[in-house]
Amino acid sequence: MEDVIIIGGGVVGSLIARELSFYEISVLLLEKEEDIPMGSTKANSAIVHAGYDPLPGTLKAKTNVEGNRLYKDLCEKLKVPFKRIGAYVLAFNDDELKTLLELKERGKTNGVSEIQILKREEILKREPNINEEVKYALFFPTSGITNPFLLTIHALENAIENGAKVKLREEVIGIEKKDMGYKVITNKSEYYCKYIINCAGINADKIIHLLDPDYPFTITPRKGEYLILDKKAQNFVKSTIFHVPTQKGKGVLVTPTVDGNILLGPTAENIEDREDKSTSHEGLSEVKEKVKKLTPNAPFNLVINIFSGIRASSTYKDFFVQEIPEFKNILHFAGIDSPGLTSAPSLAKMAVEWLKEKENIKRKKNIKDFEKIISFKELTEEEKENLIKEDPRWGHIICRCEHVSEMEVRNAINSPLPARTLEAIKKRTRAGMGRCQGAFCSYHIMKILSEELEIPMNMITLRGGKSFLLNGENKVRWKYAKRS
Amino acid sequence: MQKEVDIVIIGGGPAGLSASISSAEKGKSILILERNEELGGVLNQCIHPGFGLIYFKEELTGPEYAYRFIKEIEKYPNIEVWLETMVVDITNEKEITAINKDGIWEIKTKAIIFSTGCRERTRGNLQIPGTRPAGIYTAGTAQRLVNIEGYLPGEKILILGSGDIGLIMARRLKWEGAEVIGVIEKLPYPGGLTRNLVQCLEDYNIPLYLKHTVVEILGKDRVEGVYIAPVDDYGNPIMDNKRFIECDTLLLSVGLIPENDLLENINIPLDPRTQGPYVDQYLSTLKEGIFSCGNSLLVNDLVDYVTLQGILAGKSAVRYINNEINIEKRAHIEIDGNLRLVVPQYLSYPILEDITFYFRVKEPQKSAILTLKDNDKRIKEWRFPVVKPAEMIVIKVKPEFLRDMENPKFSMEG
Amino acid sequence: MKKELTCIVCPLGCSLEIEIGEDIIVKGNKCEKGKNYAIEEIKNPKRILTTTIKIKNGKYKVIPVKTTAPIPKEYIFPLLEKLSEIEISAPVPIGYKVLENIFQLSIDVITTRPMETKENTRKTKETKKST
Repeated sequence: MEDVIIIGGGVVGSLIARELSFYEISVLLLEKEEDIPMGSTKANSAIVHAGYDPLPGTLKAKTNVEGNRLYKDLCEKLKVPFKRIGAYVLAFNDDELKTLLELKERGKTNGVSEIQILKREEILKREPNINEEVKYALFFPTSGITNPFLLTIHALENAIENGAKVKLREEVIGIEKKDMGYKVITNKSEYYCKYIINCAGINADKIIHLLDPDYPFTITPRKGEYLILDKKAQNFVKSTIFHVPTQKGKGVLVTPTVDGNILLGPTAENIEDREDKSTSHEGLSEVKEKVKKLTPNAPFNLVINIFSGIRASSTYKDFFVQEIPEFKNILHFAGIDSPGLTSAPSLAKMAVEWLKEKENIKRKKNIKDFEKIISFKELTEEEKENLIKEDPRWGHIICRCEHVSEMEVRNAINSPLPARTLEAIKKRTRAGMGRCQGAFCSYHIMKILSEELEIPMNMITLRGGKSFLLNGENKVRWKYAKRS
Repeated sequence: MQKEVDIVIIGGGPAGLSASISSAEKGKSILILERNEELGGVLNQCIHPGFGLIYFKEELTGPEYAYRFIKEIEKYPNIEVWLETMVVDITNEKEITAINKDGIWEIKTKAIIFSTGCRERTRGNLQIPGTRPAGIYTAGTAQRLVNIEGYLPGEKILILGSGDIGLIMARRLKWEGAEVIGVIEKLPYPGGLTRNLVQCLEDYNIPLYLKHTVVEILGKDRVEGVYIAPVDDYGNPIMDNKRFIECDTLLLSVGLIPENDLLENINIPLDPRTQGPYVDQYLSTLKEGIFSCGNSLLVNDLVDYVTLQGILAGKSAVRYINNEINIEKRAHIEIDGNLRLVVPQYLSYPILEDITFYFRVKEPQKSAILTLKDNDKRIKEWRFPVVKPAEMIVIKVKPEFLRDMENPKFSMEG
Repeated sequence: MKKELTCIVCPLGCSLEIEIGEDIIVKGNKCEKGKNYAIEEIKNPKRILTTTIKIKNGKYKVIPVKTTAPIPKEYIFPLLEKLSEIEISAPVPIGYKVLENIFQLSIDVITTRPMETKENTRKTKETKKST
């Protein structure tokens, strides 16, 4: 019997798990995929927004601004990169200037601490690659960028270190009301608990409908396509560049990432199939067209990868954070689209407050901090030397692009939230994210996975399920077809 | 930890191996830094024949060719080899930072020879839309998996790109029992050597779709198929005529990119045509004491030329250290007509020896004439019955033809 | 019967037209070598086979091999099948005869690289301390 079951290991679920693990209660997080994060947290703009965009008085506005304030400390504690690089919102004509002024007011109302309004000359001086036709811009110094993978993974590992339990590859398929609370049925097992926190992302409505099939809340999945540029484009822009937002959202942007790449996108396309993460010719072209408006000489020849992410938008115009009637003690975090990543730390605090109102939960005395070597590359020469002396495998660099060490890969496989696939390694170490896109490191990583997990090479997958990297058979295949 | 040697060679493939021998012969202390677990570079996975016809006058397989040099360097006690060693940084003062199982090394040296080879263009570079399933490989990575690790990447293979690597892998996978569905080529003519077209595709009735490209990849966990479409004369896909091809593996053989990240970090200028550094006839980059050879200088078609470039780079590095190279002035070489690239791109005067020039053409041509000019005055001519983009043109020019040039230019007409 | 071939003897790659009847008549060749190549290709096309075979206890799981001379095309898949049933043991030198006189053709299959044992690889790695 658990105190709390959290459904979904995205950034919201993981931060909540961590916060709750600091209290003397039992926490179990159930995640349906092979690894975390796999949903919206895995593919987004990685921006920690300033908070000018959400409508004042909404939960989005409140948590956006609070979340932004909490990010620096949280990332320091979890050893996650975070940079306040600032953001520009560009206006190209007087109509757009009107929108800018509205946003400025909105930002002020929401509590955004600093907002500058700039004219063309100043804008171009700071960011020479912005379209010369720009007229005005708002600049938000508090806007930042982070690494959503590491944030989620480190948060959940910290939660595990503090006693939380995590089960991967378990999908919640039923919830039944019981006397003491609830019975949660998954595809593998069943659990009993008092409280449930629904953080199921694009499937949050499915969880709601397990309880009340007629409840009027639906997720409308919205796909966003991205292109990512080689680190050679590093100084193309120094801050995040937006166009004035439209009904559909903040639109296509140009932004540095914490690792030194440049990210372009996203589009916003309503889709039927929630699992459809494909990119399309039309989507990528749309990104490029809109990017050209912001930065006409964007170096598209430096594209190293393309991907798409799905946002859990909904018909409800704000974050849906509430219990539903007749199902007390279940808190839903649903419809968490932008500024979900930014708001996540604030939403996590909300979950704690919610639970505190229901139970007298005691904070633990000995809370473990997150201690881990994150990136070999970032260490000092002395630190690197000491590690290599301890274990020479630290000195075996297996990723030529990101200079990832063999031991980083082994440690990722042997961590509290173990990496079992090529993609899981990629999220934790960056191996495979460089310009060669895994051509050099893939087989090294596959060999290490095979060795550490004691499974044959042919059974290694890209991201679980049937995504076998080799021909999937449990032996080296030596069949010869008859000559045609 | 510190180390000091005369010459550091970055990359222990064929270029680095021959450079080490020619420089060690003169008694200098040589250190080869190789990131893999053995020397030989990509030759170790090129198990097919076609190597050494020019240099050894024998036809060898890749591993056999590499073996000859690996055996040879054992004779030189002044050649040190560090395997599984990654160079992570180079400074303007030629100080190298390298990491291996013994620690972090700061290596001081008098000359550096870059022989780092190439990496492959990826699906992301091409921006092919669709899903991101397992089963998409660059041909070189697939070759390593099959020939060294002993695994098949998949069972139903489609290959994008008709360059030699793609063609060789088509045959290799056929020989390993996979079904090779076809080779897709964007251009109206194939990219690889005729010999490979015959022995890899025609022999096995593997279809070659010219003027086609892959426009979408499908498959959730693993590749399930692709859409291919014909392209127009500008290389743009004609989407109305796209069709589905079922496959579980997509191999990409769509271009090699010389690995010169470290050179770019110290602002050594690269030639956008070759994507390798600008060099003179000594194979010295525009930063003195740093030399380039092999596939990181330009994408070669025969390893024999890689060897010759390595030998020259090694000799030049020694002469540089001995202060025997005296450059009074430099002339930049222009190219014209059907020429896509030339190496070397600079002449350093005085020119004391024959210079070997390497060219690639833009388009296939019959009865081609290569002309050397200075200030548009014709100096010398070479005739070729047939030239093809896939086949490098190599000529040797005596110093007397290059004397005192102001505006040297090579051009090629039909 | 007519057949078309591309000659691969030199980079010219002449398109050859071959008439197969009582005699073999070759058209389109610009030299004698091309004619001989065409006749060989029609009468008895041969290829060098290069592949990998399993090796036990070696640095890698497979080792590359080749036929010492081109073999008639029809023997390629039978030879591949034969080789798939073989497993040799490390250490092995370059040029080691894996199969001798295959199909009575007086052609062998030999390794194209040496391969040391896994143990030896590990030992060399451990003792390799550089000054």
